[in-house]
Amino acid sequence: MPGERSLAERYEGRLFELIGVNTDTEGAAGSLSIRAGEMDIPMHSFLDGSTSGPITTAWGVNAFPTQFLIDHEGIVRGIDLVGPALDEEIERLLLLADAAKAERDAAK
Amino acid sequence: MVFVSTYLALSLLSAPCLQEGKVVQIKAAVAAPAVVIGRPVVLRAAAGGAVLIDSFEVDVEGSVPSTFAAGSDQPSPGQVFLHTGEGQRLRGVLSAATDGQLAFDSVDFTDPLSIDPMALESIRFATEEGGDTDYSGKYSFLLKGGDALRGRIQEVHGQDSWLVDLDGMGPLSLSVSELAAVDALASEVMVYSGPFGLGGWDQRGTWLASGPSGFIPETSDPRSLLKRDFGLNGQRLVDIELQVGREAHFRMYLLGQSMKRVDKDCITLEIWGDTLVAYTEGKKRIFATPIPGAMREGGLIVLKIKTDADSLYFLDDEGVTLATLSRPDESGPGFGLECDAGSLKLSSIRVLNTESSLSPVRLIAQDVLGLDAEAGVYQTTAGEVPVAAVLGFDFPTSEVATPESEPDPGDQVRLIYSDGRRVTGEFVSYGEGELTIRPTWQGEARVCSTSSLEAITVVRSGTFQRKKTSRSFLVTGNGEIAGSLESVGEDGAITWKPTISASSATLSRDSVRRIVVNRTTSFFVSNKNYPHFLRLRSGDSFRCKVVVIGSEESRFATPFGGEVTISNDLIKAIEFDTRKMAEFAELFVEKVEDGNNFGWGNTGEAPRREVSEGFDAASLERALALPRKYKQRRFKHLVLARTGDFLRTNVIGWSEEGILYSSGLSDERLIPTRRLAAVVWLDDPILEDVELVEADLPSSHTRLILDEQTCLTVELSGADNEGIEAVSPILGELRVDLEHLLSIELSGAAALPPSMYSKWVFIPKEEPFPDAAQAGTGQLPVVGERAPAAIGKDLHGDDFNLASATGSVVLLDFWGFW
Repeated sequence: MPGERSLAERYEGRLFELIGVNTDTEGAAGSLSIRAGEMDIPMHSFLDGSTSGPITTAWGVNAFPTQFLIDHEGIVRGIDLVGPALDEEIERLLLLADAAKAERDAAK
Repeated sequence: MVFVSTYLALSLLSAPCLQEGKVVQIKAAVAAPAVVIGRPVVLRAAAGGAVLIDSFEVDVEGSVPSTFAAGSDQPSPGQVFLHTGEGQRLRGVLSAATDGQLAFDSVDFTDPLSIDPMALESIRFATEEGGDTDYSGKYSFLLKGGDALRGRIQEVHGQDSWLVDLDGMGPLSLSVSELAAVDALASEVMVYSGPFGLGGWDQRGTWLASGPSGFIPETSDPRSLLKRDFGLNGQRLVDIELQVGREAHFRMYLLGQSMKRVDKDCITLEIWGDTLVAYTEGKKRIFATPIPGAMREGGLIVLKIKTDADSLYFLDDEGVTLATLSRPDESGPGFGLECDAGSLKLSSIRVLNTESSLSPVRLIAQDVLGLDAEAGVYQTTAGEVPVAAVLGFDFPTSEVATPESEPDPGDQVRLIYSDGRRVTGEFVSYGEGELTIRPTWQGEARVCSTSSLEAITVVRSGTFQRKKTSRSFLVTGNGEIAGSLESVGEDGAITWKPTISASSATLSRDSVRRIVVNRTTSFFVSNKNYPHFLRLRSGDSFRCKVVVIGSEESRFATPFGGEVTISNDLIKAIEFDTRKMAEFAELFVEKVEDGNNFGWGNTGEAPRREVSEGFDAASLERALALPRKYKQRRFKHLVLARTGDFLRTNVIGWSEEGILYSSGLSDERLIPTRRLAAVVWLDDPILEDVELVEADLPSSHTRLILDEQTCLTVELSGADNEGIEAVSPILGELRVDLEHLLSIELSGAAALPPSMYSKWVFIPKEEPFPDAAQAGTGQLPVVGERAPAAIGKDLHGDDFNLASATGSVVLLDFWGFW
């Protein structure tokens, strides 16, 4: 998980969240939460139970890993972006998220 | 004063519709109850068969408002319009004519003008229309030269001459050889057989020629001059003619600056406030035109005429019978009338029956031997004919001159009366209430009344050659007149020398709208020295060279003397190059597919077009719409590329290489000049930009138009016949040669059409608040659409919902150790 780790580090303190959907089968690999802790998995993850878990099925994901980039309003902005394209897009979306937050704060 | 002359010339001569029981529908614009119709709506029907309905008139009860505020396009009572060639006109009072010169007091000029009447095309009078509508016992006399007179027949001397008492001219002997037709005015249409076939003019001077299904208005009028004189009567807003043959058919002419002709089956006129709107049957608008002066609100009365074997029915638009014209029970001749029409009143119905002893006849003039006024009969070679039965006199075709053989001995004037009379002759003099003219058909000068005189037009021999002299035009609220600018005084008074006047005259600056200068040399500024173009919010625009673009103010080199510093608040746009942008399209490849807010947005489909056309409505809207999320950080500029692409950004500077800008992603970027079309300052919609502009304009500002692109707002300080001196708040003191000017706009009106940028502001865009995510469909989500919901437990067994991350950018990773 080095890629995820570096992303999490880079955007620490920004309006950025790395969220996982874990598709391992409980029991087959031991306690997931322990394993996740041991491996310092840098993200808060759903426990979906298997690769045909309810979230995975609803999202139509049948290849792993699959990454969705979602903006601050919940719009899918990219699927399986990598490298500079991912960085640039996150950067762009963060600007929008910051602007939206500033607006929300101003409204308060 | 008339707003709509609802004159319906209805010919039902063949009238199969009457015989076959068809419904003929007539819609007349009659505002009720405050009816304003210049003369009664006259419908004349002459059905074949046993019964001839000579005419019936529909009038409407209610008083006619005495006056309306005069529209700008018609003279007020007591005033006239002098018209010369090229659309010039002057409004004023004609006081007298001496030594062949008209003394004229213009409402604009403070000095009286002396004008040669032969330099004019026409003089238009304000007329009270329909002053004398008593036509009983009167005849119209149509002369071969085209003149039309009206009066009573006093004596008939066989084939030589008739003694007539003419309206406005008095007793006169008319030679039979001059006459083309004589018609009893009870009949609405003057008909005669001539070299043009059976035809004639109706009382309004509309030419009617016979056609296969009756009279067809406005076809092949042999005298186009006459048609123009009458058909373009400035008094009338619309002129409706209705012809009913095998099919009902309207022809409508909208009179005014542009004449519009509409051929439709049926037309409805409605008056809304001060606008007259015409619709076709399907409520499709044909035109809308303002009605000069105040108008009372009024609805429409829609008249339909239906017929069966015995009766004519007048219906309103809901089918309610307003009046019935029907054969009486007795077998007597003619029709009787029953009428219960509310505010409608049928008046003056004449019914003639061919079986009665008063069968209408037209007599051959040469057969008429005399008139026995006491007995009321014409003596003819065939016996006596009652005067009341005579519809008119025909003159043998062979004796009617063809139009080609109408010589005009020289420049003459033609008097046009609102009731259709016209007299041609040599202008002698003009005085209070009367005018002396030597008619072409009469050796002696005659005094003619000027009451109900509508116009005096000049009839020129041969083709009228417009003088091709260089001239400028002075435009006021009352007209425009050619001449030359002589000077501008200290008080702003303008001295003008009209070409048609012997002397120059002054007028107040306030009454002048503009001076259109007929320049001899076009204004030229080298594109090399001044490659850029500056458009200011005040409307000024001129070539320049950008020196500095600063955060508060910018500096430009101008062709009007040195460099100037201009506050950015005054700038609307700087154009760098608006040549065909397609040529440069290949230079520009840096594009972002969806035209998002940070990159270059593509304005649309190929092929790309010029800047002025390059923005279609959709892309412009996208460029100017400010999404809600940007409320906190506005962009000030829209940069247009030659490709037609645009970039929302903040311009921060200028170097020889191009424009420096800052956008969201990086600190500073440069757009090369070769890619630039323009930089537009986008106003904050909250700013009151009107105030900003007005505050910087001189109090009595004038605009100088040097060419289609160059406009300067100045204060006029002086002028001679070479050039003008002015002070511009931006450029300082100026002197512009008249030969470089297109026009001088004195009223401060927007002189050039506003540039396409002038209204560009950021429009806050309302974006819907994101709605709750829906459960996934089992299909992979699509980029750009809302992510499905994801609700469940996390690895520690706690509740976890993706929606909790709303507001942050989320990278959702489907993963596993496997």
